[in-house]
Amino acid sequence: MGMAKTAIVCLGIGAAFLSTPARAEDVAKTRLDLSTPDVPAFTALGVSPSKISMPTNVKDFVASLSSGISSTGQVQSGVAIEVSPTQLLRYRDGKAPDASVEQLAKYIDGLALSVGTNALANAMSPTTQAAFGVRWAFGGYAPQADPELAKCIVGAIPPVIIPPGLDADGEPLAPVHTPDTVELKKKRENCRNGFRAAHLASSALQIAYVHSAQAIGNSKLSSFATLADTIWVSGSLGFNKAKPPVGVAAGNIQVPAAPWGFQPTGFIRYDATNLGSGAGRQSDLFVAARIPFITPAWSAFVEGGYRKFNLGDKTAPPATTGYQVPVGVGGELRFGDGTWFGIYAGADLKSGEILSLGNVKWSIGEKRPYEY
Amino acid sequence: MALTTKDVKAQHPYTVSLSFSGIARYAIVEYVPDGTGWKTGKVIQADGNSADAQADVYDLTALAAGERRLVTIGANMSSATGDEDVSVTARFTQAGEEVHSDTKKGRDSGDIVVLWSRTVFVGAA
Repeated sequence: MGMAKTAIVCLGIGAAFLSTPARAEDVAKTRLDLSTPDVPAFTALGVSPSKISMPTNVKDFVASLSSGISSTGQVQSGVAIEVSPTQLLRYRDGKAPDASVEQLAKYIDGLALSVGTNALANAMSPTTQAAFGVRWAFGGYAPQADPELAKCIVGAIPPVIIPPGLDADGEPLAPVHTPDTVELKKKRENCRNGFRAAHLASSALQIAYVHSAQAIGNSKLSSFATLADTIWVSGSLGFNKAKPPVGVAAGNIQVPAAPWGFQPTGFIRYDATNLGSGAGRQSDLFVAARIPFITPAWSAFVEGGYRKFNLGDKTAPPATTGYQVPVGVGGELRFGDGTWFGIYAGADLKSGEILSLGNVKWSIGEKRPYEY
Repeated sequence: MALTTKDVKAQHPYTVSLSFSGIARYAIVEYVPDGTGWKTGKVIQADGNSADAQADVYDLTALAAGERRLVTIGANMSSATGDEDVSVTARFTQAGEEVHSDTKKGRDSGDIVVLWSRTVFVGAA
């Protein structure tokens, strides 16, 4: 089947799903969210700040934190800070990082702290919410951090031409032409395609925690009361048909014709939410698994989980109680670089409620997602 | 555009440390005055890259009082995905203190990105 026909069929299937009674607000409830948030503090507050402070040294970090508290000790809204402890260690004294820091960085490079505050616009009284999050990721595949891919690509970058003479402004006296060629460009693309094919699936462990709090009226630190605590843990095992072309010259890489990856993923999420007014806390637990089959052009997955509401806390008057057994199947089709079409169908086996949806996913830059 | 000029202590060694966002093949050259322009003095690194196991840190020639050097860093850059921002940052330090930092940025859209950093250093008594 040609790509155009495939697209029409998939759009038709998507439209059929959309024509079911599923409402837009059901999407978040229906689709099993097995992802660990990139920035837990912002996720907890439900905000996407346009400007995030990302200090790389202790001095800037302290300055960022200080700017979030007024001279009278009030917590300001709009604080958005994400910081890597590794970066703070690397540049703590303004000198080049030493070997011991780099050794430590192997393990804590994936650690990030986040702090955010937000003012609730529709609250009866001035209300400020704040959250502190921690995220640690180990493993996974980031092409930017792959030294073997870098070695492959650097072998297809032309050397720098050194001009023999410069004018008073430091510009070359004669034009310098960088000898980049179609052949070198093709070699670089070979490197990317070869390593991408070998990392369709990846093994990774991700853990995140966030504590959120709220102050009504006075926004001094002492006025904040706990809203919720959430913990996420996810782990995946990646199996790939293709192997990385390590040590192969960029021009000699044979990109596999039909690479695929298989990445079973397990997920646990625990929420403890303050019900307010001395009503106690509601604790919910969600465990789930997803099994995706991934190719460069399409992917398909099945997933299922168990969600237990009000775990173990019999004294709290819960907003929700009982349990769910959500399951789902879905897939994605790549139309072009950065453009994917996804379909999904899900149901709660406990209640028998069937909900489904179709959606178009856009991802800019990557030619395929590296995470499922 | 006028070149940036920075003073360094005369008769004291100083170093340049390179850091990259992206993948680079680079050269570092010291130019000496030649009439109103500059000519090649010492090639510090003719063909380095960011992907080998070597630290991208180099000693530069100590200057006599009043002596001038134009230090150029040329980097041909690409990226892991072929569609992302790339940059090179050169940090110049003397006796552990940073005397100058220069960052050049570009966007990799498939073709090589050519970045140049140029700074004149003058030996200060």
